[in-house]
Amino acid sequence: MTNRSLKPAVRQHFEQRVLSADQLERLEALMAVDAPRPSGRRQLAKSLIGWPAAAAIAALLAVMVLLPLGPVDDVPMTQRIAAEVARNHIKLKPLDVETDNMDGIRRYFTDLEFVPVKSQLLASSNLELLGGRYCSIQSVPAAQLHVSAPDKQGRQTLYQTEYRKDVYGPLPVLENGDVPVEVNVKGIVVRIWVEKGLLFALSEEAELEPIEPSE
Amino acid sequence: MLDRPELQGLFRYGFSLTHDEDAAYDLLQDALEISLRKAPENTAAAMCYVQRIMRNRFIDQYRRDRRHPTASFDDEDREPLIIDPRVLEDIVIAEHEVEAIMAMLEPLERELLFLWAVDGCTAQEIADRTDSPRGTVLSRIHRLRQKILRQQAHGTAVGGSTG
Repeated sequence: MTNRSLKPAVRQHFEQRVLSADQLERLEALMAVDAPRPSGRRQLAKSLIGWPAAAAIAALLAVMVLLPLGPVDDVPMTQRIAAEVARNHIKLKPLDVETDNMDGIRRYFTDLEFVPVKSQLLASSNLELLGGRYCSIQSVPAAQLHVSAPDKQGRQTLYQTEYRKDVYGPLPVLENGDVPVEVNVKGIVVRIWVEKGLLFALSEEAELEPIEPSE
Repeated sequence: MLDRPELQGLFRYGFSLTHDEDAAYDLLQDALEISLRKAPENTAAAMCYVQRIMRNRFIDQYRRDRRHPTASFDDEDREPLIIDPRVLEDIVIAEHEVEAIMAMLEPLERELLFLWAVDGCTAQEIADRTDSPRGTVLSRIHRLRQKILRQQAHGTAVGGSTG
């Protein structure tokens, strides 16, 4: 049996814990999106310096278009958003702030680059607000609001984030008369739409259909 | 922007609090989501900033979770102790005891061990990093030592020799 001092034993215990490559990539993507965006002259200078890099990227994109895409690229953005939202819905991490009104939500979420708003689409749903927590959708910082509907069992989660077309691509816009796209994933129904310049996603458990006895 | 070794370091710090790898990842992700917009440019300062957010979030969640007692975060010490912070240095343990010891420690005790063993902090540095008086840190070190020795004695009594 090997005996050793406490210090190296403890150090080894912790050093055995490592983030997987996938986890590291997700955290790096989160930091990349979340990093302050350069602007003004600095941005112009950077963009001019970056011409050779841009040409290289364009060449790479051309190759990618010609080659068959991998499985991740095949997944539509709505499906990716829905999968992420469903995962958050199932985890249902504790609220950062408990409040029953949007003023309380706005007072808490001061680190977002948008102002959380009420959705017109949900105005008639009588949703009761319970609170919220910080989260992210496709690495863009977002607010997760917990809500409950009086006529439904279980909790619903409503996500809001700034609608960045460069990240999310085209999505149905309520003001254009579009209807939300609905995706079923992991037993969760996720509705996704854009309204007032924000991306919304509402998730809830899929309704159980009554099973009719067979004749 | 933090690099991979720094992210690994923060993940291990999260593990010292949560004793669960999934929870440590969630804690780190949550802290990054909140913190990066305000994080200092300097890497060392950014690490401390993110670590502080992880700690505060963990304590908030821990207190909210009714499954866990809250005493260990609130009963910081009253007993005035004069302790040599090197008292942990002379403890010798068997390799197989590490997991059992970690499992029976409270989160702040594991955090203390992490800061001492992995980050190489002194008692004063631990006090600064955890916003605790130095006396409280020394008391925790004292209690930690007693606890580990008790666990070792118990392990020896139940499972035989550790040597």
